Amino acid sequence: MFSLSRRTALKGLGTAMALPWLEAMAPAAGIASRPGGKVAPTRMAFLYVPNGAHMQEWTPEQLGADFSLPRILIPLNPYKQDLLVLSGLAQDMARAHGNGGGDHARSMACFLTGVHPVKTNGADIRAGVSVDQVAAAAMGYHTRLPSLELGIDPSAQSGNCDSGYSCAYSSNISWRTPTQPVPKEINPRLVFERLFGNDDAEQLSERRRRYNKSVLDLVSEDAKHLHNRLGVNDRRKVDEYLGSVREIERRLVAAEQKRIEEVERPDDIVKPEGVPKDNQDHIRLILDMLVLAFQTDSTRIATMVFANEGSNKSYNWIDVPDGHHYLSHHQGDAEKQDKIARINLFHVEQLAYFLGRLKEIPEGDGTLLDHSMILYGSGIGDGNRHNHNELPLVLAGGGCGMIKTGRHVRYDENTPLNNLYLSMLDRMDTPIDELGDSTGRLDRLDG
Amino acid sequence: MSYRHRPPLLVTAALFTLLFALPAVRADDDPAAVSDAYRDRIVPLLKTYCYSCHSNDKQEAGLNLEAYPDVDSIVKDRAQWENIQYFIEDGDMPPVDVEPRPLEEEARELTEWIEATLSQIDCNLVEPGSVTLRRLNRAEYNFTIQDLLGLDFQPADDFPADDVGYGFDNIGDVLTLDPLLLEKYLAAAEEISRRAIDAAGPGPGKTILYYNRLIRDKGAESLGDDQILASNGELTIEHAFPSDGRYILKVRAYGHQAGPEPVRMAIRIDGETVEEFDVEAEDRHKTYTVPHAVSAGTRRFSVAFLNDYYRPDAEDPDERGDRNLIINRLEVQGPTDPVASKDLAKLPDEAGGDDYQGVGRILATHGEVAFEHDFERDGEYRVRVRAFGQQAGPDPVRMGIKIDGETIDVADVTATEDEPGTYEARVRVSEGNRPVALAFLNDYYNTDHPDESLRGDRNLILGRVEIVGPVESYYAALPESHRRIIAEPALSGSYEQVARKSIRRFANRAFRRPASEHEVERLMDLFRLVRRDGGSFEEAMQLAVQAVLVSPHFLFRVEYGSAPDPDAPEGGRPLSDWELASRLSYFLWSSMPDEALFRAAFEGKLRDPAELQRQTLRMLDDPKASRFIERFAGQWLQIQNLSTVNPDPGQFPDFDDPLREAMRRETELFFEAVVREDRSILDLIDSEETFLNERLARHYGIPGVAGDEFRRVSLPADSPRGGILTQASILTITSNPTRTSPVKRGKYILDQILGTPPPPPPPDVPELEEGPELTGTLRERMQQHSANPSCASCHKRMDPLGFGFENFDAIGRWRDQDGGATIDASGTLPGGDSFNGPADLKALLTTRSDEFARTLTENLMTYALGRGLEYFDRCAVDRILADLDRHDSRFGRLVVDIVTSDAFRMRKNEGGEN
Repeated sequence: MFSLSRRTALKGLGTAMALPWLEAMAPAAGIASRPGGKVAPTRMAFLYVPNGAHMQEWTPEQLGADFSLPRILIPLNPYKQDLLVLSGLAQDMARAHGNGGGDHARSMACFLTGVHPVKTNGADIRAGVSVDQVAAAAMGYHTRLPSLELGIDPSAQSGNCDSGYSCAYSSNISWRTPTQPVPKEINPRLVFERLFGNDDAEQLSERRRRYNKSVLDLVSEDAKHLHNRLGVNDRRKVDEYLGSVREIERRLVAAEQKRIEEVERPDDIVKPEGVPKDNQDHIRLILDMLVLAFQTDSTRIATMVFANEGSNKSYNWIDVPDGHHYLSHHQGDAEKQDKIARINLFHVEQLAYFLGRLKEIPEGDGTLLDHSMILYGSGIGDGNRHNHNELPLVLAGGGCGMIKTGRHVRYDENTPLNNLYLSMLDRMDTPIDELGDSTGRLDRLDG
Repeated sequence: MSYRHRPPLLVTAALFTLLFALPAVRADDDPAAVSDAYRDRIVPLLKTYCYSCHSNDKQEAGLNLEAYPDVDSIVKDRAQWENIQYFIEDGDMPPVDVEPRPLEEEARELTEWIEATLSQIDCNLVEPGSVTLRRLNRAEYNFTIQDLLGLDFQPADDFPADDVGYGFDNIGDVLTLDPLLLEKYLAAAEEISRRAIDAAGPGPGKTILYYNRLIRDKGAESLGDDQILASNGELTIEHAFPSDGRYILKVRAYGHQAGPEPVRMAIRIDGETVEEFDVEAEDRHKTYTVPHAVSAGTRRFSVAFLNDYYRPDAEDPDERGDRNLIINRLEVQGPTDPVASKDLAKLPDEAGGDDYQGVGRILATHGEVAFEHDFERDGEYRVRVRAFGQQAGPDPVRMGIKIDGETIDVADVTATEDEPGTYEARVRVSEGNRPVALAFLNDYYNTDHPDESLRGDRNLILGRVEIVGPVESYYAALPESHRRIIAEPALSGSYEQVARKSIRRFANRAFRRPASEHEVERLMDLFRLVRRDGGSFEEAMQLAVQAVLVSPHFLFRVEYGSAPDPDAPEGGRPLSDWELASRLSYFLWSSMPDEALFRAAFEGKLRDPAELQRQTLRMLDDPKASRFIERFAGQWLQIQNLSTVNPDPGQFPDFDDPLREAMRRETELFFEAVVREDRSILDLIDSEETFLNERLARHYGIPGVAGDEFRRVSLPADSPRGGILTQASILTITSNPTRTSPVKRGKYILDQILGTPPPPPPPDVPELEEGPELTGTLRERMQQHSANPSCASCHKRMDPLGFGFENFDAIGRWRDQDGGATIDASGTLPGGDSFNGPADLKALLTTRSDEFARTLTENLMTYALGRGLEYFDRCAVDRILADLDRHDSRFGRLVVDIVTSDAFRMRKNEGGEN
C-alpha cells in the first residue's frame, strides 16, 4: 500500500523538471565546469551503516579496474563502472585511546569528523565538525537548505548509549560544531515539507515574510538583552538561540532577494504520508527524498544513517530475527557471519536502489550520479573485533568527472579516512587544509 | 547517576569490586587523616612516579604536581585531580615506557586517596549547584500550550526529538536549539495563534442536519425517506447547542391538506413553542425558519402537528379528506447573529452617488452614499462594505464609514474591480433608526500631470452593505483560547487599550512572570504593524501572540543569575517566587503554573517552606500530576523503551501492540498508585497488588479479569509477581528479541534500582554472552564465560541478579523450562546471600532498601533540577534520606523534601562577564 504511494510520489520525476542551476550562467563555487561548457553542481552524500560488515564477503579479491564484486556487493553490479571500492582506510580516532569500551558510539561520532569524542553521557559532549558541515558552512548559501541530515532511527533515545558515551554520539553523524550534533530528520513527510514548504504550493507571502522578520527582530533583541543578564552556561544556550534566529533571518532575506531561486514543487509528486512501518520502505522513501533534494538542487550536501550505531534491530523480513548488534559479535560462528552478511547485503541493495535512482536522472550531458559523490560505509570494520581500520567503504558517482570510477583501490594500512574527505572537499570547491586527524589528500581518486 | 563528574564508568573492574563492598566514601571521613596521608604517603608516590614530567622543572600538559602544597589546594582544583585519578585508573599514566612504574597497590592507593579527598564535602556550605537555562522539551511545550490556551493540540509532535542526559530529557545542558527547531517554533507559533484566536468574526455558524434515519422513530411514522405525523403529535430530536446564542431552527416539510384550514405546525424547544406555522406547501417540501435564542446544552427540538383532520367519509366531498404533516428534515444553524443586507445598487439617486453598471453606486467626487437602518437593540454592530476603487494618484481610495453623521472608521480601499474587497467597521449603537453613510474622502483627478504615473481619476464604487448585529452569539461562541487571550470585545475601550491589556495578560502568563512595560510596548508595535496594513484587531493580536510564543522568555525557563557583584556572598541566592513557581510546575506538571500557584508567587508566599509544601501536595493531587508519573517513571524505569522493543514474532507470536500497551499501563498505574496514595516508595519493589486488564492477566495466567479496562487486582498468594521487577514491561525491555538476557536484567537492577552501575566492559571484549563453541544451557554457557577473569569481577554481580528472574521469559511470561531444560533460578550474590527464584531474590533486594531509596532520590532530584548531580549534592541527598526514613518513606514526603531543598530553591551565584 505504502510503496504504491511512494511510487506515485516519484512518477514523472527525472525528465521535465526545471533545474535552477541550469539558469546559472557563471560557475559559482561548488559548480564544476565540464566539457561542453555546461555546468552542474557537484553533490556529496554520506551514507552510514552500523556495526561494520562481514569483510570476507565485502572486499573484492582483485585490485584495479579488473575486479569482481563479492557476495555483499553484488547488488551494485549494474553500477560497477560508477564506483570505487576503497580498502585499507582507517578512522583511528574511533579507537579507545585510553577511554575503554564504546567503539560503537565513537565510530559514529568520529566517522565524518576524525575527532575522538569526549567520553561522557552528560552535558559536556564534544566531538568535531563533520566534513559535510564544513562544506555546508562554506557553500550552503547557494541552496535553500545548506545541508540535509537524514536517518531511519531517531537521534538520541536514552542517556547512556554505549559504555558511558552519550547517545548523541551513537545517533548523530553530522556535527555543526564540536558540541552541536545535527539531529536527523527521519520522517519523509517532514523532509518533503522542508524541501517544498508546509502548505500545498503555498509560498510565504510577502506580508507573512515581513511579519516573520518583525517577530524575529523582536525576539533576537530579547535574546541579546537576556544574554547580558545571564551566567556563562546560560549564555551558551542563548547563543544557540541567537545563531538559529540569524540563520532563519538569513533564509528570509535570501528568499526575499531571490538570491536563491524558490524551488517549484513538481506537480506530480505526492507528499509522503509519514513514516512507513516497513524498514525497506522507510529507507527507500528517505532516499527518494534525498534524490529529490539533489535533483531540485535544494541542497548539495547530505548525510543519511541507515540505523544508529550499535543498532540491535532484527531483520525478520530477510529471515534474520536476531538483533544486528548481537549477531555482529559472531565469534567466528559461521551461521552468525552468514546472517551478518545478509544484513549487509540488504543494506547494499538499498544503496543500489539509490544509485539507480540517481543514474536514471539525466542532467546536462550526464546523469545526476555522474555529478555526485556518494560515500557509503561504516566506522567499524568487523563488528566482532571492533576494529577501525580496513573499513568497508564504497565511493560512488563521478564527482563531475573528477573521480575515476570502476576500480578497487587499496591504501596503506591505517591511511586516515579523513584524507578522503579533504579530497572530496577539494572537489566540492571548498578546500581546507586539515580536518580531524587528516595527514594529507588521498591519492589515486582520479586514476 | 553518580556524584563523580565522569560517572563511574571509569572505575576499573578491580576498583569496582572494592566500591561495591563500600558503596561510597562517606562525606564524614576524617579530614585530618586525609591530610596526613597526603604528606606521608601520596607526595612521596607522586615524587617517585610523576615528578619526572610534572614538577617545577617540567610541566608536561601544563601540570605541575609540586604546586599543590595541601589538601585544600587539591580540592580547589577538583577537575584537574579528577582527570589525574582517571588517567591513573585507566593505566594511561604513567605512560608505559616510563620507568619506574608504580605497583598495582600503589596506583590504587593514589586513586583511592584522590577519590576520598575529592569526596570531602562541608555540608554547612550552601552549594545549590548551577542549572543551565532549560528549553521546554517537546512534552513541556505541548503541555504548556495546552494549559496556556486550553487548546487540545500537540504542535511539538513534529519537533525533532530532544536529547537526553543523565537518563532524562529535561536536562538544560543537553537540550539544544538549532535552526531546524527554531523553524518549527515559528511555524507552530503561527499555527497556534491562528487556532487560538478567531479572526473570522461573526458568521453564519455551522448547520447541522437531521434527516432520513436520524429522524426515524422519533415520534412519527416513516413515509419513504420522510416522516409523517398522521394525527396530532410531535417528532422530537435532541440537539446539543454548543454555546449560548441565537440559532436558526429550520424544518423542511409539507402537508397533506384537507378540511377548511392548512396544516398547522409548531416548532418547539424543550416543549415550549417557539413559533407556529401554516404549512401550505402540499406538493413539494418547503423550509420553515425561525431564529431563537438558546442557552448552551442538549435540548429537545420538536416539530408538532397541531390540527389533525380526518373525515374520509364526509358527505360533502369538499370536507372529505385526511390532513397530515410530512417532515423531511430538521436543521439547526448557528450560533449566528442577525444580518441585514443592503444592496446599494437598488438605492434611489437621492441616496448619493450614481448608479454603477447596475451592481453598485459610484462616488466620483467627494460625497457619500447614505441609507437608514433600524438597529433593533443596543449593542455592537459590524458594518461590512463590499467596495473597490478606481485607483489613481499616490494614495489608495479612502472610505469613511459613518453612523448618525459620525465617522466610526476609515478604510483604505486598496481593492480593484477584479477583486472587490470587504471593509468592516465596528461600532456600538443604541437602538433606533439611524442613517448609515459611506463617504469618499480623497478624490483625485489629474489628467495632465507631468509624471505619467500620477495621471488618472480616483473613484470609489460601493456594492453591498451588511450590518451584523447586535453581535452577541459570536462572543458567546468564541473558543476558550480566544477568550483567554482577548477577554473582552475590542470595542470595550480603544483598540489600543484593549490590545495592551490583553497582550500584557497573555505575556505575563506565557513568560510565567510579570512582563515589563518595555516588553509589552514592543509587542504592541507588532500589533500596530498589522493594524497599519489594514488587518483586523484579531489578526493584529495573532501576530503579537506569535511573537510571545517564539520569545526566549517563553521557550526557555529563564532564571536570572545575579549580576556580577564583588560584594555578593559566595554560594547561592534564592530563586524569585516566579522562578520557584515554574520550577515546581515543570517538575510536577511538565507545564506552566496554574492560577493558584501564580497567586502564591504574586503574594510572595513561596519562599515559605510550609507554603511550598502545601502547594506541592496540592499539585501532586491534581490530575495533571499524571504527566509527572508518565514522564518520570517512563524515563527512570525506561518503560518508554517498550515502544521500540521487537520480540521475535516467530518465537513470541502473542506479542502485539495491545500487549505492549498493557505492559506500559500496568507499570504506570502501579507507580501512580504509590504517588496518589502517598505510599512507601518501597512498595515499588514489592507489593501484593497490581493493575491488570484481561489481556495482561491472561499473559500472567491470573484468572478472573475480564475486559479491556485496567483495575486493581490483589495478587494470588502463590503468585511470583509483585513489584516493578516482576512486571512484564521491565522483563521485556531487559530482554533480547529472541531470548532473555540475564546480563541486561542484572545490569538494570544495578543501574536503576540499586544505583551501583557496573563499569563498561574492557575494550575489545565482545559481549559476554556470545562465545564460540560453548555448549549447554544459557546459564552454563555464561558460567564458562565468566571464567574469564577480566569479565568475572563484574559479571558475578550482574548475572546472578538476572538469573533470579529466569523464570520469566523474554516477554515476561512465567515458564518452568527453557529449551527442554528446567529453569535454575538460584544464585548467590557476592556478599554470600543465596536465593532460589524471584521471590527470594526480591526479599534480598528489600533488605537493600537504603540503596533503592538513594537511587530513586537521585533520579528524582535529577529530573526535578534538570541537571546531573554533583559531588556536593550528596549532602542534600543524605539529609533527604534521613528525613524520608522518619516519614515511613512516603512518596509525597520525598517530593516535598526535594522541593524544599536548597538545590531546588536556590541558584548558584554566577554573574555574566560583562
